[in-house]
Amino acid sequence: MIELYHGEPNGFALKALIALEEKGAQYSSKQIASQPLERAVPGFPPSQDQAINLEREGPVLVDGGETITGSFFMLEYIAETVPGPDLLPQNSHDRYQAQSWGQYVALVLSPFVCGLGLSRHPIADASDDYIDVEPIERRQSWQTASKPLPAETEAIYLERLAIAVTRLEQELAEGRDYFAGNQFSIADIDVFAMVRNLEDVAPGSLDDAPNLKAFIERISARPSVAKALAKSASGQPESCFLPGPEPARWG
Amino acid sequence: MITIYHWEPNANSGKPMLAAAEKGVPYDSIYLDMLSFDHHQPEYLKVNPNGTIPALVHGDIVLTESTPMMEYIDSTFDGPSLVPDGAADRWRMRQWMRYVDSYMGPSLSMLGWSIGVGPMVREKDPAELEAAIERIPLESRRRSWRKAIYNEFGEEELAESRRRLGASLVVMEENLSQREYLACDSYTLADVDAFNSCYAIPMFQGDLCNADVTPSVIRWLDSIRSRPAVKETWAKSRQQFGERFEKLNGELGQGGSSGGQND
Repeated sequence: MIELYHGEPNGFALKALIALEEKGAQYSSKQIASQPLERAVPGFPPSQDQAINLEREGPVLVDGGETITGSFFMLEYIAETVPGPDLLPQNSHDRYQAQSWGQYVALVLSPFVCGLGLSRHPIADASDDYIDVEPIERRQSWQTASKPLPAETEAIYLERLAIAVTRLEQELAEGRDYFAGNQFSIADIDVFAMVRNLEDVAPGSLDDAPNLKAFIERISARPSVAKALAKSASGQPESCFLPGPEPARWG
Repeated sequence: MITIYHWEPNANSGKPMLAAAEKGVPYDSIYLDMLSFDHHQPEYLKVNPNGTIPALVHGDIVLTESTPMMEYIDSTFDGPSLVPDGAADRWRMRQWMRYVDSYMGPSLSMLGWSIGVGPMVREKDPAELEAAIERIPLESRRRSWRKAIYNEFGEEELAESRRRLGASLVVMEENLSQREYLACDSYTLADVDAFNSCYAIPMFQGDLCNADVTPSVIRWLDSIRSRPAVKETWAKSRQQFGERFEKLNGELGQGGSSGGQND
C-alpha cells in the first residue's frame, strides 16, 4: 500500500492528497511535523536520488521500494499508476500543457506563495540549529523560517506573485474551465493547491482575477478536496507553510 | 512535418533538436541568432509572442517550453522511445530534467555568460543593446537579459554558481556510478536534457569534472557525444559552440577527455 508522508494539507502536501482521494485509493496517511524532511521522515533520504528534489519539504510518497518526491511529478506518478478515474490529460498536446503548468507552478508561482505564506505564518519553533540540513541554501531557508520576510523582499514577492496571477487569470479568461484540455486533470490540482489561499497569503491579490476565483470555488467543491483537507491535524491547514523552493536566481 | 525555431544546439534550443534527431523525426530547422536578438524580432514574435527560444510548430500547435516539448515529440511520433516504460524510471527522468533545468542550468549559464557570451555581446553598440533589451516581451526575461549582458552578477553569485555546479556534479557522479544513464539503464530525455547543458563542463570547469574526480560523468558524456543523432544535431551549429564540440571530440580521440585545463 502507498504510504504518504505529508505535513498539513496546504500547498505541496495538498496536491498528492487530492489526487489520491480523486482516485479513491487506499493509502496510509502519515502526518509529519513542520521540520526539515530528514528530521520529520524516518530514514529520509533513502538514496542519492532524493538529492535532486528541489521542492525539498515533502510530501514523500513510498510505493513498494520506490520513494517519490516533487509534487507535480508525484501527481504524474499517481495519475499513471494508481487505478481509478483518469487524471491525465488525454492527448499529447494537453499533456504538454499540463507539464508546462506544472513547471510554471513549481518554478514561478510556488516560491512566492511559499515565501509570502511562511512570512505571514512563520514556524515559531523553527530552529537555527538546523546545521546538518543540506544543501546550504535549504539550510538557510529553514534557519529563517521563524521570521517574516524583510519588507523589501516582501514587496518584490508581491509584485512577482501579481504577474503570475495575471497569467493564470488570462488562461481562464478565454472561457476555459480547466488548465489542460477540456477535463479536470493533475494540472488543475497542481494550480489549485497553490492558489487556494491566495486571499490570505496576499490580501487583494485576486481582486482582478474573477475567473481564477471562480476556478478556486469550483475545485474547492470537489469531494476529494474536503477529504484531503480533513487530513489536517491542526484544523487550520491554511496557516501552515514550509520554506518551499527558492525563487529563480536569474531574477 | 514539424518546424523547430532554435539557436545553437546548446542548452534549451538543443533539447527538441536532439530529441527529434534521436527519434528520427525530420524537421524544418529555422536558426535564430540569439546573440543578435533574432528571437525578439517581429517575425518571430508572430510565432512565439513571448520571444523565447526554442519553439516547435506542429500544424496549428505551437509549443514553447523546451522540456515538456521533448515529451510531446516522444509521445507524438514514431521512433525509438526516449521515455522509459517504468513509472518510477519516468519519475526519475522528470526529476532529473527539473534538477538540470532549474538548479544546474542557471548556475552553468551564469558562469557561461560571465566567461564567454557576455563579453562577446558587450562588443555591440551600447545604444543598440539597450534598444534590444527594451524589445524583449517578458518582463522577467528583460531582467535576466540585463543581468547577463551587463554582467550584473557579482563575484559572490559566481562563486555560488561554482559551488552549486560542484555539488551537482557529485550527485551526478554518484548516480552515474550506479546506472548507465541518469534515470535508468537506458538513454532517456533526461540524458538529452542534461547533455545539452553539461557537454562542455570538462572544458570550462575541468577541475570539477575530469576523469579522476568524476569518471562516471566523463564516461556518460563521452558515450552520448559519440551518438549519431548528437553529431547530426551539432552539425547545425554556426558559432563557436560547434568548434567547442569538435574540440571535445578531438580530446576524446586522443585517449579520453581527461579535462583539467580551462579553455
